[in-house]
Amino acid sequence: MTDRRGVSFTLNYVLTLGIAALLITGLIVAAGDYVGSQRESVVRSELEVVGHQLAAALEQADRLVRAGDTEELRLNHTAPAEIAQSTYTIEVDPGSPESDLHLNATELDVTVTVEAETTTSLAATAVEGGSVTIEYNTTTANELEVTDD
Amino acid sequence: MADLSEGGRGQLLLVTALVLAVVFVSLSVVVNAAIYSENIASRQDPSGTDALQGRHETAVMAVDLLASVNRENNTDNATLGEGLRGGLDETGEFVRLERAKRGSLTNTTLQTSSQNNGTIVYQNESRELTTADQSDATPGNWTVVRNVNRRAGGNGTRAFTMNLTSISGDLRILVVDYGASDVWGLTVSGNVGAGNDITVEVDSPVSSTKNCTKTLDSGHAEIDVTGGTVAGEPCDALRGSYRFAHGVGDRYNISVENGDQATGNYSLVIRNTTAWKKAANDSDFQLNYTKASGGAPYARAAVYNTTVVYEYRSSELVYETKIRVAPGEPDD
Repeated sequence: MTDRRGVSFTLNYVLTLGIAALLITGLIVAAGDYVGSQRESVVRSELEVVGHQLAAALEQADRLVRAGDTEELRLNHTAPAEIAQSTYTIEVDPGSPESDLHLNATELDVTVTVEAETTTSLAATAVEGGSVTIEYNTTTANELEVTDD
Repeated sequence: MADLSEGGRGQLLLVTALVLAVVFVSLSVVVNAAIYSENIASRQDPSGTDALQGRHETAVMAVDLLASVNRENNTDNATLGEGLRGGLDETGEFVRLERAKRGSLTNTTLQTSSQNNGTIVYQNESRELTTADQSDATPGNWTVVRNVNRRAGGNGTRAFTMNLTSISGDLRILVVDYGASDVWGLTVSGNVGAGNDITVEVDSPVSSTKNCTKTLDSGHAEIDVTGGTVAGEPCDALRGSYRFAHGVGDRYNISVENGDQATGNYSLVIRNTTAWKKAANDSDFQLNYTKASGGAPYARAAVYNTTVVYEYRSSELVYETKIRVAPGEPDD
């Protein structure tokens, strides 16, 4: 009787621990996946925002250039260096009149493409995400260039 | 046995709590990033707009200044240049103070090397559109200016406006190519008066004839020849391929026909300093204008165009641009 109660007692604990571990593991995995998917969604959303902000800055620079005979233009554009704790890159793919800005979050491999419509041509560049400078190159190509100086 | 089991369960809960804490912290970071992205989405970069606004203010003031200097000074081009520089210093100060309140700096300077001197031809009293002398057999048919040369890719006449108070025939303004036979012709007909229609017809050397008719709401007809408006409304016959002097070569004369059949005043600025003078061996042309006193029309020294350099500096933006000031100049 005592032995059987002992076995039952041990088995009871083992089963309890097993089920608890299983539930907790499920909870952690589900929570982890949820956080991961939310992070990706937020990164995508924020890349779009940063991309549109940069497109707006490029279009602003374009308006300044088109206003007249521009001698010098340097526009400092402020943007976060990291998005949801991930660094990102900005690639300018020139087109006429719509250029593509490809923003890629390096850790998550999430890429977002935003269009910028400018009359002034853009230089094909790739820079680290963060605060960038938009410069009007008057010496050679008469184009707007995004640099991360 | 029981102690060991309880210890194991405790560790499991501890690890779980720790992992869940990490998950919640990560979630808060993600939520924070989402809030931050919404925050930066609503941000605006005011520098570009402010710089453009300052540029526009400078351009508007420079245009008014140029018109004012041309109207008020009648001595020589050097005096006009001095007037422009002095005026721009004062108007530039206004733009500078406005920008300084917002933490940015501006500087406006006159680029004297780019100043083009010209002549303003005007009649500021209501009379027939004839020569000053009126001794010719046909004082209503005369050449207003000759050998006006265009700037590269542009025109050589600007701010050509007429304000007619009566028309009894067909008033014609002709732009005749100096070397070839191309003619751009403007014919004004109708009866000037409130509620009456006035018709402007243009013969362009590169297009067919086009006209526009406008109803006047007062006793005078304002025609902005280079601006392309009649009675303050856009006139298609003075725009596009029918615009002033379009299709005529790089050098042209401007003449009037039937000037004695219309009454009113007018003004135009041309790019040459001597275009109003006739050739040295033909003194009659000089009688077209009044030199010192007497009746209109007048021909006086004027600034055709100038360039203002506008600089803007703020923590976000460095911008330097040239503003060409030639109010009322049509495209080529």
